[in-house]
Amino acid sequence: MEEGKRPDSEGADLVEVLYKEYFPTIYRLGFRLLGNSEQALDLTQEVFLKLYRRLNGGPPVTEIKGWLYRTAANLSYDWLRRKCRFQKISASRLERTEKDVEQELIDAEAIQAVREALEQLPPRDRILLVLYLDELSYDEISNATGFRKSSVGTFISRAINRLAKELEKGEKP
Amino acid sequence: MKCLSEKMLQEYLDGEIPKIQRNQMKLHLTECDRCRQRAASLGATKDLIIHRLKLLDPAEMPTARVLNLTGEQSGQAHPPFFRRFFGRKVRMPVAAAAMAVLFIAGLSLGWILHSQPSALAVSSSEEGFLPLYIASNKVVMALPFKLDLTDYEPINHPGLIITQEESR
Repeated sequence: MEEGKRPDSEGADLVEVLYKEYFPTIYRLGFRLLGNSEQALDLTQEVFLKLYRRLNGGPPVTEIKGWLYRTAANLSYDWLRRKCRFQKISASRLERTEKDVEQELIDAEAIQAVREALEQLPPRDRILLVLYLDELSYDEISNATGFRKSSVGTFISRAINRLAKELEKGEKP
Repeated sequence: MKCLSEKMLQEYLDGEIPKIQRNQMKLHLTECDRCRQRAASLGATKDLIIHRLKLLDPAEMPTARVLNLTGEQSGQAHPPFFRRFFGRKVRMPVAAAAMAVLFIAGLSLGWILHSQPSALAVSSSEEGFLPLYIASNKVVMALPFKLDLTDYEPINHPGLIITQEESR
């Protein structure tokens, strides 16, 4: 993407190209945070729709990847807050599919344990961890979340410790 | 060098420390058992968390939907309040027109209700019915007035004798 490019009639084509390139990144982020393929697809759609509107009338986007992460993080934050308000304990409602293989059962339980632990964290920590998991630099995380770069290390360290404690709680009989 | 804070250790593990400072920290870690142990523990927790979080990755990547740039189907999971309430998107001009119609209708109704009692009273009294009065004990307005006793004729009352001279 050229820096600061503002398409007019070719906007849709450009967004299509970017959609193909960044779909996996944004979908994966949404899936990790929302735990649901349908919602992750909705989130991805919304992010690229916002990009299209931004490119066709808003101020120019200078750094596409960072902008996409930031928009996805903001949207996820809103969605997670609503989800927290209306479905405080949603982890127990996760669909459990029947598995024949024992290993797959163990994996499903492990996934559910992580999701339950993650859902105990505030939305801000969840988003930070998911961005961290994508191996984003502190600069990129700061750009996506709006936190100061000097605070990112502290917030990540706290989020990791909180999740570790929640996982530990879940493992206790 | 002082012992390293948790923030510094986290930044060190994440490769976010500039080279010169990093070398100083590395030196400190070779000398300080406590910091070395804390760094090892923090690193182990970080690896564990990353490993666990990666379990949340989608098992397979779905085919990307056809990108809908009209926005009609976007955000289905959490549509805006008005869309949830009315079932579809509310356009501002339509909403403004509806509000204007409601406002005018309200004004008209108020005017009709306001003018109705007097008309009723006239027509009903003509037909020999008692007019309808609506009474209220609420004081709407009180005007101050000056007491004028020039034409006052004192009443011969045993408990109250007021003369015109005294009243002035």
